[in-house]
Amino acid sequence: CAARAPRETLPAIEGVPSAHQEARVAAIEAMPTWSMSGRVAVSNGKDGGSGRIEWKQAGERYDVALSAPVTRQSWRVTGGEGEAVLEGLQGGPRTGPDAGELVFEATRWRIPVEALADWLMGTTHRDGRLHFGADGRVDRIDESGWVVTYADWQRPEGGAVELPGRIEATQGESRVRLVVDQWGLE
Amino acid sequence: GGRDELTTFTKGLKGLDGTFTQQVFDANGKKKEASSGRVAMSAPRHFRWEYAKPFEQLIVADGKSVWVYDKDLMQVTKRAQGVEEQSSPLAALIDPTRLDREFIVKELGANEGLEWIELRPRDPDSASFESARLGFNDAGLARMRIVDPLGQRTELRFASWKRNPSFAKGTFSFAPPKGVDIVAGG
Repeated sequence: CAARAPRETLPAIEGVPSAHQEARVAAIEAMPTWSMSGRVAVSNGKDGGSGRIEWKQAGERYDVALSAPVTRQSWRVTGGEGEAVLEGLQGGPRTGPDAGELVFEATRWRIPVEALADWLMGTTHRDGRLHFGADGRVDRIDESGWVVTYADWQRPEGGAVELPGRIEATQGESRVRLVVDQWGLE
Repeated sequence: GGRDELTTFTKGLKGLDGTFTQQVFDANGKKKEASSGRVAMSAPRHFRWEYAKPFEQLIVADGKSVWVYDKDLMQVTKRAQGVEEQSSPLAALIDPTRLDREFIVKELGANEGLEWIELRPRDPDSASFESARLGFNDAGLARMRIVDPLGQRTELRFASWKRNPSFAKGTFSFAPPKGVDIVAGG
């Protein structure tokens, strides 16, 4: 269940930040199947919402479920490789090539699903620019107009790789703020 | 049956204060969440849903707006206390006249030591759930089970109800703390 993982702040890394990141990226690429559960707050500057988020990833394929407070009414976007399906919202399932567009049309919230699959792990999606913080870990990625910032790095039990505990992606008025409660690493 | 239990429970009921535990199961029955906290209600339309574990979230309906405060996410979502709240199964407890107006009520009989009724919103579009089952014992509402269109099941167990308690000032009002983002609810 979603018990919070123990929080200990990791010491600064030894060695060169980019080497540390390259080793992380290699470990992540060797682990194409992972899952995450946590909470997300979304806003487009005017309106927004918050809920629990469950993310399951297998290679390029994602399965992302968001559920609302109390009744946990949920909606889900699944897909990958250029086809996405959004279910659970009024009006029945919707399909399209881009998950982010489907979510935006249905909720007015910008959630860059495909890119977040990489950003969640503290890695660039395609051509992002990395920025390292004082502790030698990635603290920001600039990519396709989004600014993604990181905090609360942790090493989940049984995991061979460090992963962020807080991720925030902003683009203009749009903001996605995530708190990770549990990483599931195969 | 459940309906009589509901009638006795709600007779002369102006306010309620108790504790809840909430478990959420995915469509294949796997437990995804276990949380707990306090729930309070006061006629005609005030309620307070306070998650304490595993992390804090506060939902307050002050009669005009519903505030959702996610402490870790530093965001408050404020939305008009419109129809959606009125079709919340708990709201019907405080105002039983609303029960038949807003729900189709079906007696389900005894099961698991409780008397059950099922509520289906008459206006599904405005409701945040498809159907809710309420289970009563002599202490009143003991359990609520909500299944959403994606087959996700939420089980709420209530305990230590206090009837018509005197509520502390501010129980049903909310003032956003400094430094949190306030967005209008979708």
